[in-house]
Amino acid sequence: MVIDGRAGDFLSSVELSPPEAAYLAEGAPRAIGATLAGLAHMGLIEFRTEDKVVPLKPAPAGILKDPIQQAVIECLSQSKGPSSVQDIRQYAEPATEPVRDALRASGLLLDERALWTGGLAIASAGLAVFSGILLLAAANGGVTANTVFCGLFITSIPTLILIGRRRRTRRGSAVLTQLQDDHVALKESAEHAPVLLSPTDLSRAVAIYGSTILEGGPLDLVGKALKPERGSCGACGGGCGGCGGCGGCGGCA
Amino acid sequence: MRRVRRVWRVRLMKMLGLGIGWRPELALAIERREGLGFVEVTAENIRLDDIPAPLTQMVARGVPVIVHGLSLSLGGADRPDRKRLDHLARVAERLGASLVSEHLAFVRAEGLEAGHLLPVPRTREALEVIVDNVAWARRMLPFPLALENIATLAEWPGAEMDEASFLAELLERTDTRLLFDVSNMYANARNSGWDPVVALDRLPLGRLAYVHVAGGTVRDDLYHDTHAHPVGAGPLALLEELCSRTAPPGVMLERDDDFPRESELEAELDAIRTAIARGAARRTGKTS
Repeated sequence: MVIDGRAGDFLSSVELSPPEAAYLAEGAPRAIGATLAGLAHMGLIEFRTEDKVVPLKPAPAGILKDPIQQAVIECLSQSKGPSSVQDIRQYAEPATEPVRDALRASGLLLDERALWTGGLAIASAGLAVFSGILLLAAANGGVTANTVFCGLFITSIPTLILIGRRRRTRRGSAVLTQLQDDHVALKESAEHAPVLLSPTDLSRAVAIYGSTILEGGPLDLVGKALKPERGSCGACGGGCGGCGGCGGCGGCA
Repeated sequence: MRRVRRVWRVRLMKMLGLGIGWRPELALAIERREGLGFVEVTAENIRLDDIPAPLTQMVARGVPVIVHGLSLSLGGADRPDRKRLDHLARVAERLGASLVSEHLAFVRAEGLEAGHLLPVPRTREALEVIVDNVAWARRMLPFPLALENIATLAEWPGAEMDEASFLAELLERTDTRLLFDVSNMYANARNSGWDPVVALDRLPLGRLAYVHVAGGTVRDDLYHDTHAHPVGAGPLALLEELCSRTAPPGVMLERDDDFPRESELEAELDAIRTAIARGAARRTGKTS
């Protein structure tokens, strides 16, 4: 990771690795997804239908230096049959923690404290709006069960979405936008001819733009298999350690 | 007028160099190629409301763009379609092009689309019609126009001129530039059994705007200009011959299918650069 911390010019010197860019964009699920895409392109694993992944051949010694790559291969080698993308994500998630920590240390992701204080602030704002709705209802003839239910519905959903999406710092969001602007040629090639890319480039493309850029092309199966699941940790993107709003994904232990 | 033409030519010579046909599949390789002089964009592949972001970024960085047309059908009996001309001009305008180019060919007749670039009859009668079409297109286009020789496996009977002489007279009478496709001329010469080097001497090289080079393959003893294979020794040798006679303002690789990996594309561009350098060395009397 190369990030110049000086104000004003940091955007011109950002160079994140594919796992770092992926984690910055969508958390652990995308970091693992980008790794899976790269490993598939290296011919070490293969995607099959119904989101199943199988190992194809052992990696040559010393080629897999990235801990997430190692965790994915370890997961597949321990499995007796094809593994689901979800299982691999759960297994490899701890390997993404150093990436998360490095991004937090660089000021691109919010740390635990900022997540909690920010989350509390948003929740307080949501509660204030809810109270306002109740007061307004009381002033206009009384609070009914319907009013309470509607008030809860109106305030809780945006509150939870806002809490869930708060992961990046402003600087992190700016860096991600800059990465997306800087790699439009990579995106174009990944959409039209992903098989021509090197494994690192393919991994970087999935990291920055998501697996949907592979859909409809020769790597359609990979693109569809790596789609984040709604309501899972992938949706909130923060991993189990810090997103606060997904309630745990159940597979991080 | 002569001074304006000279200024334009000097400007073009300064601007171009080694280029490539921009294709989405090659976007990353093109972006990474150092010292790329220009790109050529096919107008029919560009939607004005959705210009690919890598292209707009290249334009913003000052990379010269030439807009190339496929469907004007300048060699047809009918006048070129106004809408297609308009699209070509608007794409060129949006991409800040300094030049537009088209083929000396026809692609439709009486509303029927051929789906291919078809050769024109090389007769005086056809020449008059094409001169009229090209002159009309030039009036409609606010950009200099270059015409390209095509590759063909068939010829119309009763040709009154050879390919180079026909092209030379057309360009002279319409005051248009030459987009010389060395691979097309190599293919025609090989398949019809004439010497392309002799033909080079009949081309109006003073009107040369830029050069296309592409790969092909031999099937059933016929050379096919596929744009899907690496550039072979034949077209490269003809490019060297050309460069031994003149310094082309720009030379570019066309690759339209079976796209290679970045390293292979680099090797192809390097091979073209080497052929240019060898020709230039012969022209200036130096050894390469």
